[in-house]
Amino acid sequence: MADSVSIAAIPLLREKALAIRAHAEPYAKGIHVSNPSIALLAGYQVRVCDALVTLITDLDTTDEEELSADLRRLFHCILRLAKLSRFFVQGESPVLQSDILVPWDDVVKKVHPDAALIIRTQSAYEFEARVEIREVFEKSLPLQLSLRDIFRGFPRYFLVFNIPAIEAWNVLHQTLLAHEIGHFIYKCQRLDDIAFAILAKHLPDIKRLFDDAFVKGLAGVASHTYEQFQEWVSGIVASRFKELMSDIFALQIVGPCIVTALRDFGLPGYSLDFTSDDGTMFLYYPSFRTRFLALLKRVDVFFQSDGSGGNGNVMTQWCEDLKQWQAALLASGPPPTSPFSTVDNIVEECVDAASEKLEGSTCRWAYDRQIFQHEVLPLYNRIVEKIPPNELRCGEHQTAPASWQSILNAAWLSYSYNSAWALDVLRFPETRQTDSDPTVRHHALLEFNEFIARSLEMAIVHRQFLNQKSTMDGVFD
Amino acid sequence: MSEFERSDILELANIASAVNKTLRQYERAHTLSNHRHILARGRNLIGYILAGSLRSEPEVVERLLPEGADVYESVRAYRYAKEVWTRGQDSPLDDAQFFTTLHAYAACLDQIESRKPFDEWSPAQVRDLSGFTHFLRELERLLSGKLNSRHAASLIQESA
Repeated sequence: MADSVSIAAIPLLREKALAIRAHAEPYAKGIHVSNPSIALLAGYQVRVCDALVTLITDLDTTDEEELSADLRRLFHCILRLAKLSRFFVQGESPVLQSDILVPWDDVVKKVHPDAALIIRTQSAYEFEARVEIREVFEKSLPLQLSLRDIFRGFPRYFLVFNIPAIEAWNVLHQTLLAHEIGHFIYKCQRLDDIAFAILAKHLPDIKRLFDDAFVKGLAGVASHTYEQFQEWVSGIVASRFKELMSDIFALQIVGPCIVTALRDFGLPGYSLDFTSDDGTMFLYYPSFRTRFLALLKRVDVFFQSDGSGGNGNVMTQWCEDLKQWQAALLASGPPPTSPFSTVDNIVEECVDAASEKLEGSTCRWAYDRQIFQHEVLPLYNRIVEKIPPNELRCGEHQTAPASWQSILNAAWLSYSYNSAWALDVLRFPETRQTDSDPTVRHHALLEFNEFIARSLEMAIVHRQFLNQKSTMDGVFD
Repeated sequence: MSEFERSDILELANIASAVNKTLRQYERAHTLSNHRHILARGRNLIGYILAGSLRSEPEVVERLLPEGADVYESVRAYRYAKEVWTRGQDSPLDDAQFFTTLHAYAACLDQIESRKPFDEWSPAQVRDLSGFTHFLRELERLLSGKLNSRHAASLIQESA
């Protein structure tokens, strides 16, 4: 028979599970919830809690050791559930809902039809693919629970993306959501299999690195076992590989504007090359130089056709500036330093192998380069003439909604090359801070954002109308 | 320790516990019902460890982990398993012996799955089964300890 301390812990755990359930229940019933995804998520939280309460009630108390182990794991499981409950506290972290976010949800569904997405704001100044909810639930719950029953009707993937609250209004910066969707694509494509194979190939190099570091007595490394070192290096490689592939997928989702968006967002706060002062960024993220070079190496395909416009137009200039920037980044790179050059080489090999694996595969979520070449310049011209870039003429009296990616590209193009905002995000090795009054620039950006957001909204609603019309057999004709 | 790492450790601890309970039940009753899912997770656990070693045949890992594995999660599983494996040994054993033992553990799961009568198990296979339950219990202990110490560290950090 178990001792009294373990027995006494059982009702406490049950109470905690019931408290989490009570917290989730109003959201599950749709009280104070504007986003149906939150209600759906809360409904499953309630189901999970119910199952846990049953499990706790039925705990076998005959074996002390077993009971105490069960209680320990259930305690940590409930801790994880309590953390998930924070998703329902909307006051702290509002969930964004707007027509202009619809395309992101569409892309996620094109990656996997049984996927749902919540976009939240957070105080931290970073974009992140925070969690895949179902995976978190499944990892935390005891295997005795029937997950199949609990998650009946729940999406196969339920993604939560966080974006900085301070940038939530900024449609241009929402471009970076493409990178977060890239993480989801990485997962669905099972690219970790490539990392396993290439890490295995480089085990002798990793061992050499360890021995070298051990001999030199490098702080922090000498106290590690080789297994810990191997785990550390594998973690760095896997993380950097995932980041680079997510960038590459982002380029395929939104086109060349991802380069500009990444630069505009990243470089004011970070230098091109991380140092150890950048903490985890230094270890787990490729440097911005590496990220830009990976993108610039692949951006060409969008510009190859003559459809992008004649010589001397802004599209040609954009393409040339990107090439010049690529050359400048290559020429100004710091000399490689061991041991990170070894890690970088392994990561590069992973990226090349993944690119080769994915070459030629059809991606329903990708932005068609011909649409880019056909739409971006006319949309840019509309912006210059202060006409909303929401549609394009396709006949004498007919218009068609522009694709959302083309609007984003035209907007970034205008933002980058319009001297009124003087950002010059493309033409200088480092973002140049101008002497112009930052407040004036901020107001100009707010106004520009409003203009682009409404244009995007119009294009999206127009497209939705056409899609519905096509399914209604001429009712609207 | 990141939130993701905690989830991974909790998942491994949950698998180790459930598989251990199921195997002990089998040792006692020589029969099982509704066990398919738990045994599959047991195979997953061995798959994580083998994949995380970075030295295993991809085909073997693929069989144990048909849905694929996450690099970081697997290399961590390998380290924890190796820690348990080397803990009780008088002299250090190499990975080859470790892998042979893991394969023997996976074979135990296959035998139960295929409903091979227990009295047809060889003495070596019975020993493997017993070794497997011991390994799982120790692994779960180690992982629970890690979760507890990380939780305590978070509490100290939050109250500092």
